[in-house]
Amino acid sequence: MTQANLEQGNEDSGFEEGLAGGPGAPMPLAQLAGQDGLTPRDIQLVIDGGYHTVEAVAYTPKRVLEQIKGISEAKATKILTAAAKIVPMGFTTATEMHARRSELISITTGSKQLDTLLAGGVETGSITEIFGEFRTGKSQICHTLAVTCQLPFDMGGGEGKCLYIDTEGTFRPVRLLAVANRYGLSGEEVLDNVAYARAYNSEHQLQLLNQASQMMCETRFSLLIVDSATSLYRTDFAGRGELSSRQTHLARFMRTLQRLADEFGIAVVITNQVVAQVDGGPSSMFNPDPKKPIGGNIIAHASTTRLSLKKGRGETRICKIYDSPCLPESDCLFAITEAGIADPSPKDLEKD
Amino acid sequence: MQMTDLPTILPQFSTRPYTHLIPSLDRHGITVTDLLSLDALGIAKRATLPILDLRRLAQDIAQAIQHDLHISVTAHNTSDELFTSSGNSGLEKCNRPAKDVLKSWNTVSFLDTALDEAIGGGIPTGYITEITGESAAGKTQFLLTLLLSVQLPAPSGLSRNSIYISTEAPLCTTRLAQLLEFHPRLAQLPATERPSLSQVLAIPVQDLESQDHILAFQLPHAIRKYDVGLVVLDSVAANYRAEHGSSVPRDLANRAAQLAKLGKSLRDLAKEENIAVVVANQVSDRFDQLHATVRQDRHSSSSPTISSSPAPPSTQGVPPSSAGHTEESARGRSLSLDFQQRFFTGWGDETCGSSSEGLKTPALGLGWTNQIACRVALKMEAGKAIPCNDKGAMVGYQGGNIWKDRRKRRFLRLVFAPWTPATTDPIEYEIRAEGIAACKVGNNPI
Repeated sequence: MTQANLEQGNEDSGFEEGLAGGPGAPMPLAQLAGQDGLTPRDIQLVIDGGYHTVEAVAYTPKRVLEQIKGISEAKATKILTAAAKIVPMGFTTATEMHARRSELISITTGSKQLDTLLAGGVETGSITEIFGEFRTGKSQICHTLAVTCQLPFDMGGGEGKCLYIDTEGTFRPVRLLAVANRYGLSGEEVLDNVAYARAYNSEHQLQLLNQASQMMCETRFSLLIVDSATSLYRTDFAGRGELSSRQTHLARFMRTLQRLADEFGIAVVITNQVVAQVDGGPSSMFNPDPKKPIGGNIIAHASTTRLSLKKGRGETRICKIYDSPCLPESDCLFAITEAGIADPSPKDLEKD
Repeated sequence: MQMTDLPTILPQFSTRPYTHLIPSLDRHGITVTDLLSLDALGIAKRATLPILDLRRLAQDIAQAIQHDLHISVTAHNTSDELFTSSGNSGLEKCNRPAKDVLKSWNTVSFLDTALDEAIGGGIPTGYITEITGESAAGKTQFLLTLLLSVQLPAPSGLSRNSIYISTEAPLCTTRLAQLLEFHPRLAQLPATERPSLSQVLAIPVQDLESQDHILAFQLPHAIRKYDVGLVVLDSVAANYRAEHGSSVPRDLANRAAQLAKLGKSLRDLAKEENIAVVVANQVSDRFDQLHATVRQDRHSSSSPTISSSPAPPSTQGVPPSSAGHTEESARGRSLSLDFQQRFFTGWGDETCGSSSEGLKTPALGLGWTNQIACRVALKMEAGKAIPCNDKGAMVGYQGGNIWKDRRKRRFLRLVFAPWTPATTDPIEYEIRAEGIAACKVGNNPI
């Protein structure tokens, strides 16, 4: 009976051939019977619940297993423990990760200097935060990236679409066309490949991410931009009384972003505003004009790479690495041009 | 089927030790079946009898029946043996001589003498150690170093592998490879003895559910299977902060209970497998008005009662008769969490009068603090030395806080640990390409 059912199950999941076959083949759940006092009846219950292989069970949260009829919490724990013995999942060696990481693509920012600073460009699979005062080029970087992420790999692109979540109403398709022109892309197609969404409040902003994950299942995206991630929080939550709920909400938003980055291998770029630091203290003596990014420690901990922008001479801007696990603290100059982000002209570089 | 039927069910059962129970059981109509199937507590209440005696009686009857039916007596015995033997071994564990404990004191090094000394020789096995600090303070850099140093033979490491559980960003392998190549202590080793990336295992967890799943079911087996000596969780707070509200007391209590569970499972793992468990923790800003006032209290130590109260407007003009009340409230205040937390959070206890500005508190609160054995706080301070050129003008970009182009100075401070005193003078360290290193005293970085 069990055997028959198992075969049935395996057929369902597309493993007609080779029950308990060579290494790597999925293992029928019946293997667990007898371990830790698990009876064939327990196994049968789990199989009836829709789990046919040891792997399937090992990856299932306990809470879900408990919902199977006849499986108690203690039993679910036993089953999972037994399954974990056979399937040690998920742990990969750093060597493997390193090899995978070297294949990891970085999306070019359009400026060679900036790319060098970032060791290739904006990293996929992690969150990059850009913060600075107004007109320091945050949105310009976003616009440029929205185009460069569509470039082929050998040109430093990500060969994927871009999802642009706009909270401040600063999205300008015209800018995209100008950048597309620079790279010789068809403007029409570039615009088609940018999915734009306007978020109106912080709850909506979080909901958009759920829709984003649906879209990403369907087509290949390489970049998600949120410009800016914090502005709606500034208006939706006021004062210290709501600070705690604001930060919790913000933390949930950042977690969702990180999950999207992990699941779909996309680059996530968020922008952040700065506020004047008014609390004084001795450091303000050395600091006539202190500014710090908003979002507090939650944003600070959640973003992998933090870039700080500052205005320089003329059209040049300065980008400084504020926090990164692998890049040293340093800075560079870039320029905002008609066609997006580029290297500064030599005369701007001169007396640096 | 009254208790009087016991002789008919088990004729050879000796009721002599239980004669005082039988009458009352009879009177309340409790049958043998009841005795075996119902909870002893309920029966004890009904028949007003001592529960322990009832349990013993039920156990004896059960054994006699099993014996009578020739079933599972052996199984029962073995399980009994199992119980006693495990009990014994537990006892032996308890009776381990202190000498052995001393021998099994193994530590994982930061690969820097001064930093190791600060935490009593390195991160020991068998405990949970927390490294906390604000973003960009260097938490991950410390963790990455540990991942490699644990592979070295004693005294630097344990010659075992390591596991990195990431909840924030995935393991930064490029930096790990860079450390391996450039760290003075690692680079000079022959290739065969050098730690390798293949002995570092990593797994990303994206939500609380999978975090619990991995920690409860996968981790124990992975530790045994891969001979792991160090488990790093970077960071413990990320998932809890996102998925648990913290504005309502009930949420907080809920979270504390979950954290206690997490702490226990990690502690058990650390003890049983004799591994070092290191977690990174995030920080939050601290809002306490109390702080400034209490600080002044401490400074004017001469008469802590009246004079020191830093004159909140209400106390001014209060008649002297209420001085006793003030004292009491001051004592009450000094026992409050706001006051006490300076001793375990790592912030606010500086003896040198650093300002109350920029105080942080490790995330997850007191509930989590109780779970860990040792806390290392990393602090960042904008350096006081401003690089000047010879004309005395400041070099570098002008503008906002972080644009001062002053080098950030970083400090390590051991907040508490059962094995070594807390550091009084924070140790300054630098993050370089070749890894973390303490700054030499007197060698002030510009």
